[in-house]
Amino acid sequence: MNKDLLKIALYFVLSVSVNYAYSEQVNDDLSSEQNNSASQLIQIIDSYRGLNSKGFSFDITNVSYKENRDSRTNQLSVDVKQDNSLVKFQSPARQQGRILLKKHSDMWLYIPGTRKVIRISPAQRLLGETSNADVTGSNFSRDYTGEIIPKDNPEQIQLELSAKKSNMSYQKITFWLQNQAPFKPIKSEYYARSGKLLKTAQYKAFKEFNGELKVHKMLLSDPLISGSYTWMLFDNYRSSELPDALFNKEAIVSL
Amino acid sequence: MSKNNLYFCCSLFCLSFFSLQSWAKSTIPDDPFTQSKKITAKQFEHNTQLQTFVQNNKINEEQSFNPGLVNFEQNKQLAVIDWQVKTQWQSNFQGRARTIAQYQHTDSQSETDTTVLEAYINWTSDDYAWQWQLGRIKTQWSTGFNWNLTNLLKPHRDRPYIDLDDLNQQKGWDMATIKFNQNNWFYQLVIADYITQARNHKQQYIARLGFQGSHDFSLLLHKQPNQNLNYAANYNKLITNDITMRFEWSFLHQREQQTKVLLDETNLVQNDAKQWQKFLIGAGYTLDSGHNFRLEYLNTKHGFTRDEWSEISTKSTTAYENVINNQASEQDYNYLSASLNSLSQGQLRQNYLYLMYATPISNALWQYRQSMQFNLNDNSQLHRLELLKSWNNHLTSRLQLELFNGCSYCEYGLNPNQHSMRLVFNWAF
Repeated sequence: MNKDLLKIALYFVLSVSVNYAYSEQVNDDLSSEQNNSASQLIQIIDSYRGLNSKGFSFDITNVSYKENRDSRTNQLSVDVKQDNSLVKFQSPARQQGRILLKKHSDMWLYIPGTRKVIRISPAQRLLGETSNADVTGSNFSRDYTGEIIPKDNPEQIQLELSAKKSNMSYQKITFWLQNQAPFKPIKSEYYARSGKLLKTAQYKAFKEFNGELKVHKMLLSDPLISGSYTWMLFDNYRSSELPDALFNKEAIVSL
Repeated sequence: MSKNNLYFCCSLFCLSFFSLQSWAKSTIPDDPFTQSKKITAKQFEHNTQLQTFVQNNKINEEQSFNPGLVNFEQNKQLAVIDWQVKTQWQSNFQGRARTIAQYQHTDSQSETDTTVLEAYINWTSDDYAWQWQLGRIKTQWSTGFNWNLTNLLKPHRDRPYIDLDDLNQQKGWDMATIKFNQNNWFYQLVIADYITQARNHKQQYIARLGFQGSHDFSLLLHKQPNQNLNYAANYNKLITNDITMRFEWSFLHQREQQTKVLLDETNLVQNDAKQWQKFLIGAGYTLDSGHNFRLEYLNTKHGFTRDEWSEISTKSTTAYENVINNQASEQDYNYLSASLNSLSQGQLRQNYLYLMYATPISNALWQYRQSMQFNLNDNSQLHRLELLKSWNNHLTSRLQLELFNGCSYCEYGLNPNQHSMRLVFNWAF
């Protein structure tokens, strides 16, 4: 499996994690004073990720760039409901038909050539340089504690998340959000246990879907690899009837 | 050229040069999604893959079951077209089929063959809780990487490690099945075709239930005509963020190895037992750097015991010498034929270890994989070294070297090849 798809994973994490079910209404309800609570902000971030009972679907197109290499494009379609997700590989052709199922911390991969569904670990790398956890995201309210970092810039909120457990893929994550409704994310940084900066995400464009604002375009950069960038496009958002039984490894074989 | 023109050209060159330089320094790519395409679901989908390989073998000239009776092939070429189609109608119904057309060429023969691997109708309720299927279906009930203990329906011998390029392993079984999913539980009933030795069609039945979650498990009950119940179960779990473990077990009433000819005149075969057990325990581990490790241990009572194997070794040696000395009877030939056949029936012995290491995929989409199967009873080994590469969105390749090491009456020392090299190309249209 290639690196580009790995990247996708990353987006998925980042995009979903930061902007996804970005509910403008939810954010509008929060005054600036309320926003001072770090835990509330984390809940907002989680609400952006679609951690609610309503299912929705979208498509991701990922174009990755590296020095001395042609760009690579991958496409995924994603179904999300609560803490469950289904990631279907649409392209490139050599990976078409693969499905990644995630339920909480558990992940399974369906390989169409052998009809096999195998359990995989979050640390395993299916998509290149990004871990499975990157693809499927994490529950920030459950897995992280937050702290608002005082800043001179009154237009932005800086929120620092610290992992509650040492085995999380990212030990620390820093978000910069607009300090007013709808609290659009501006940027986020992802750090390893060692304190090394692993990924940076910039939120470049948003799109309204059923009255809610969603992330539309995002640019990722990898500070560890010079010239490594990934553009992500999130599009075709739609409400979906996603029965709970769909997120079952017995069901995905017939999708 | 006038002086002005010369200055103009120099200025243009300098401007172009510095523009190019500044462009080169700005490595952040522009937004590529100005004209993006949406992914749309299709009512009819099909995809085709073309797989081809060439293989060269170093023949084991002193194979202990073959005193020159069988010509082992030194070269092999294979080309397979794998066509899969899926149609969807009324949102609940689905039709699926998978067919292969294959051309195979060896030193002694060429042959073409077409096989329908799968063809079935699938109905799913709106809430995905109920599902029924009718037709030829490939079932994959094992969650294993190397050995598939709980795949009880195998029309073609399932040897994912020994020949992962043999698509006939994906052939399904003719069956009708109904499945129910609720929360994290699933229940399934299967009625499948069963062909007796007299080529009569009867039915066999399988009941399957399982749970998915932080603990995954499933249990299978299998009833064949004129036989007691077979059982199989598997369990797997995520231990930490980077370690998974698994366990599989099966309890069957039919031994994989055929003992009728090989051990018929001995008292070694306990016919009254008629119960053959296998179990497997394994783990996978992934480093932060992306390097992967797998370890599996297999114990199978279907394989020969030390006494049984000693008997087979002695008798086959006698038969081998009789053939060499032109003193062989029909019984000797039959014995050597059965001995050779045992190599393709399943594990020869009872205790095995499997180790695998794989690098992460490189920036240029290369990957190296190395694995070993180790027969713990006779210390023979099969080593496999693989170099994988994705060339573009469609083309992948694998260069594989296999080395068989062991004594003349050890499992991997008995392999028809001492070593082999295979180059595989796969094009996904």
